Amino acid sequence: MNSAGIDVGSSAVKVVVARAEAGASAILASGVERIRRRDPQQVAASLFERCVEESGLKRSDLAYVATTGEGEMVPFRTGHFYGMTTHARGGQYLEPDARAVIDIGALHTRAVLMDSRAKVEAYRMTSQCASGSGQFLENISRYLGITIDEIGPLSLQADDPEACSSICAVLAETDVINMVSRGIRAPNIIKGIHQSMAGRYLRLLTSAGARGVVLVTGGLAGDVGLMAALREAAEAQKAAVDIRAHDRSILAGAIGAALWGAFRAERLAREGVTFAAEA
Amino acid sequence: MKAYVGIDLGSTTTKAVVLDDAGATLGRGITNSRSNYALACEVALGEALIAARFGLLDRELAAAGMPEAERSRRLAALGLRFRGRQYLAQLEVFRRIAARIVAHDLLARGVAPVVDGMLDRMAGEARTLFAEGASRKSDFFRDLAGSRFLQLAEEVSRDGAAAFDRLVGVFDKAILEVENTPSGAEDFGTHARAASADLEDAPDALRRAVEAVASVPLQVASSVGTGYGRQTLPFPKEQIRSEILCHGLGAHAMFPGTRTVLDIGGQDTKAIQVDDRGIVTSFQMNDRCAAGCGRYLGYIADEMNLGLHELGPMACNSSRPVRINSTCTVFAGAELRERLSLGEKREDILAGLHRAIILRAMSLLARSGGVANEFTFTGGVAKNPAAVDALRGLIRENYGEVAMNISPDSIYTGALGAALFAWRDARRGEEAAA
Amino acid sequence: MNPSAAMKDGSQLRQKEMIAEHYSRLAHSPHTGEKSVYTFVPGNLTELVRSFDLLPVLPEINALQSAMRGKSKDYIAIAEKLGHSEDVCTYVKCDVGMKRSGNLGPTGEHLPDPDLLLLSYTGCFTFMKWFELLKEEYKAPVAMLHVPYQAEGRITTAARDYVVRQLKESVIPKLEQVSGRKYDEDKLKEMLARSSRAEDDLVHVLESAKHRPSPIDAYFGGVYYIGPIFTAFRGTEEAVGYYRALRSEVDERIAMGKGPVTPDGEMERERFRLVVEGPPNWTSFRQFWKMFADEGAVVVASTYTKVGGVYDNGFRHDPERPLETLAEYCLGCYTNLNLPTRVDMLCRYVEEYGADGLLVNSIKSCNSFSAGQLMMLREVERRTGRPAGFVESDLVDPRYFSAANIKNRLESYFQMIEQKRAGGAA
Repeated sequence: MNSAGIDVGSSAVKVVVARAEAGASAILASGVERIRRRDPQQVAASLFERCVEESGLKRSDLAYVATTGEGEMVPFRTGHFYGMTTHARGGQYLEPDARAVIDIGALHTRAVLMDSRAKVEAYRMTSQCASGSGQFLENISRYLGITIDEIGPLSLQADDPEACSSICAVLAETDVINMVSRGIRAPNIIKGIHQSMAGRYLRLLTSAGARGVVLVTGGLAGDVGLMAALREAAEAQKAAVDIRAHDRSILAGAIGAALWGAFRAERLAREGVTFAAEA
Repeated sequence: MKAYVGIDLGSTTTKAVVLDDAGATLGRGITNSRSNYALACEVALGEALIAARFGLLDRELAAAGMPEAERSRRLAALGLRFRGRQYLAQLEVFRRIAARIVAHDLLARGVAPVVDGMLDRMAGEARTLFAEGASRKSDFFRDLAGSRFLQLAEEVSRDGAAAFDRLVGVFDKAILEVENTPSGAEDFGTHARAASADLEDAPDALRRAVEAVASVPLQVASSVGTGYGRQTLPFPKEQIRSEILCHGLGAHAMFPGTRTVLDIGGQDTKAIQVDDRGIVTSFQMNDRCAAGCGRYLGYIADEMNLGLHELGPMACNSSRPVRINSTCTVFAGAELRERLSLGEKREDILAGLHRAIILRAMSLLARSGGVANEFTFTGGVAKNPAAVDALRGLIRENYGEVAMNISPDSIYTGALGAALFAWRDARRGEEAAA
Repeated sequence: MNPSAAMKDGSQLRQKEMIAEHYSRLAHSPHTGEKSVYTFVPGNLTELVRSFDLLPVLPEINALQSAMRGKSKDYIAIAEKLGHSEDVCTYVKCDVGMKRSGNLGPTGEHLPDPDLLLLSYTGCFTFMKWFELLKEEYKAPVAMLHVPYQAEGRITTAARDYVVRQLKESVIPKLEQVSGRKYDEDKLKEMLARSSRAEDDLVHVLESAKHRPSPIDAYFGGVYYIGPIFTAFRGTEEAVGYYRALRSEVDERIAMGKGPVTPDGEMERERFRLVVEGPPNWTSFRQFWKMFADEGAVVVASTYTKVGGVYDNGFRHDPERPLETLAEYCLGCYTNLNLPTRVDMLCRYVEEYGADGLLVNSIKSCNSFSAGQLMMLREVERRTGRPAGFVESDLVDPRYFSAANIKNRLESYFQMIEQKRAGGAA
């Protein structure tokens, strides 16, 4: 059974086309596209089209088109799944040992605990502000005069991280402006921010009760500096978690959506319900 | 001729104001701030000096007997062409830098001709972009070139010529370098001659005036810098003035009746009381809480997936403002989502948020000694109609009828105050020398 | 921060040694059998406590010393984990966190558990809550001394008698019980006589700031000067010797026309003279001080240096009336003065010390100090006609010291004074 997952985030759209077989699912095609002030619907539609083409399938071969994130507005979807369930499912697909995922998005961060079958057991979300998010890092990169892709590698070059104590995004920005003017090197500024974010994510995980393997999902999993800071923080606090990232972490939500979509399609097919493929 | 300069290095924009010998404003310039502060100041000053030369052009044409209506028409046309020329010059800098980035990036190699083609199109559109009556959301090269580049990137990526993300990556890298490369955009003579040649019906008087003004040496006799959020400014210490004093004096210069000033900028809010000479008598600033600053609105805009400039107008459409409790950036996002999920209208929530921000400013005003007639509102948020409405209402409620001034040039208030300090310093120096 | 690096004066070194010795003596008290009494700086009954051979411990001082040594941040984090909210007095959180981290004092030596909590209540409601927490924490007995607030702006006979009665009927019996000794009035009188001598010298030192240039900084430097008399040494020979030496040191500075010592050595030129209201920030003490010193700003008088006793209005401990004098001392602490009295005091300072204006440092987590400060500021501004400034920080929570913000406000304030001086020409 083939299905597709579309994860519409606040800064990027992720699409996965998958073949879901019991115990042997495979990703046939996938894509990530940053929205950059375009209409998310259009970005989703064109990326979806491209991925379907790449998978060698036709639109009519898909038993289910599942959306997640802010994908409820995608008109050609079959159904929608909540982010925590799709990230749990996708996270476990990428990292079978994972019993928790932490989804670090552009605006929010969520910790999700699950059992061995990706059933969500507990869930925590930051009730707060952008200072621990991808959007914040993007704003900071502007003050530092670097691109967002340089943030991770630069962070690894820090030799004397500058503590960034502000929990408020606006003040943290002010702090960064001050650091720049005091001549603090960009790597040390970024590392300080990464450390403060990592501390907060770790608190989120421990308050949710996470133990064992934790997979970071969402776009920031690709930020090597943040990942290093997270592992260092976990070690320093002797937290019983093993933080991992996967090079497909960013697709976790879309993968989970595709797999849950296939699961639902299969169950409904057994009950004699099929979906007319939309042109 | 001598010029007296004030520069206000803000967190989002850097402003410069140039005064003449008599202390009258000759020109203003603005650019977006960047990590290289010295260059941001240089660019803003360059822009202000260009504006100053346009001021001199006007004087020159008046002396040649050109009537005022014609002068303003001709200078407006020349100004647009001038901007177009500057834009083209910066595009070329961009092209050079982008070419180098593409050549060094193995993955982006194939996109070199695509990027070139896009830049050709953008150069071709410059004339339309700066035509009479054409609307531009911003005059900063980053925004202008950025939005068009992204549109074109979308177009060519749909045709499969190059991946959108790849092109965007090239832009992101290149624009940072462009911003930190002096582009010669401040070269008045070159652009002004080219611009007057672009005009179909430029009279000889205009060409002559351009030549005359281009050769006038503008010498910066003294300058004062100000700006917040930085422990160091690229100015010698004796040339730095607190932005509190600059805003007080600048507001007084714009509106001599001013007694109370409220400045809501990106990173901070200031309530200032001044006397009849523009001297600060008391002030208060927000401290470890940034609630009620302009950046807060930026995060709200992100949260709602809107542009910053769209918030105010949208909030103005509200008929039933929601009472928002938290002006804290930490909580506002959560409260916002909750309200939306309860089915509240976006414009009503936004109206409530604007009111909440202004309430914070009101408490700062109260702490600084209240609101006395006349009241002057400055800073980026003074451009936001919903914030202005909320402020007007709350001031009437708390302080009765008070005249409220908002200058269209309010963004230059701090720089104007700084320039006036520079002018006075120079005066005093001359008197001491005499 | 290491003040001795900044301040080369003999008095500084001596003061540091005294405090270190006291902590060391406390650390060894379990072996020597000396008993300790925890109490507060405002209204501290050091002479009475020491007349029973008990050792005073001042949690406020532990907290500020911990902050100066960079330890308060972690202590506060521990207290917040225990459920103390962000708004709780950071002295309290620092103290609770220190106790939970093994009760190592600021010098790294162990602090003894209290044998008695002597709660002298003088204008700070938090004191009661604080000792309530410590009572739970240590299971120690509490002696309460309730000092009525000076609502009338003067010490009434009824209030004095009420405090004396408490001393006789509850505080002294508790001290007798804990120490196993009888109350010895002659010994107390000797100590009070010594207090009075030290107080004379301290006042002389603080009033030396009326000179131009001022030989001292009466706020940043002042907190060192009041250290011995406000902490554990009032009424001791060490205190008498310290203040005698300090006085001659300051007199020498006046004779040489010297300004105050700052973190960066001698102050070159006195440009601004300020009166300051409110406690200092302890976590960034040196940085905070430098912001003043770099601009040539000297604090010529401060109210904070009067929290452990106001002496420059003529009050001295009087050995002839031992319990009455202690009562008057407690009633007269700065924290126990009503707002109009504080305004009068500030205005008097601005005038007598020839200050350019009043600066308020408003403490985020201290309502006892912050309540009314804006009203006071406006009133002093109105009565003296000199500009006032306002900054915000905290006692020992480094998160609330925003250097750029404070520096910005201070510089704006100094420039405002300058502009006013120049009559708008600047």
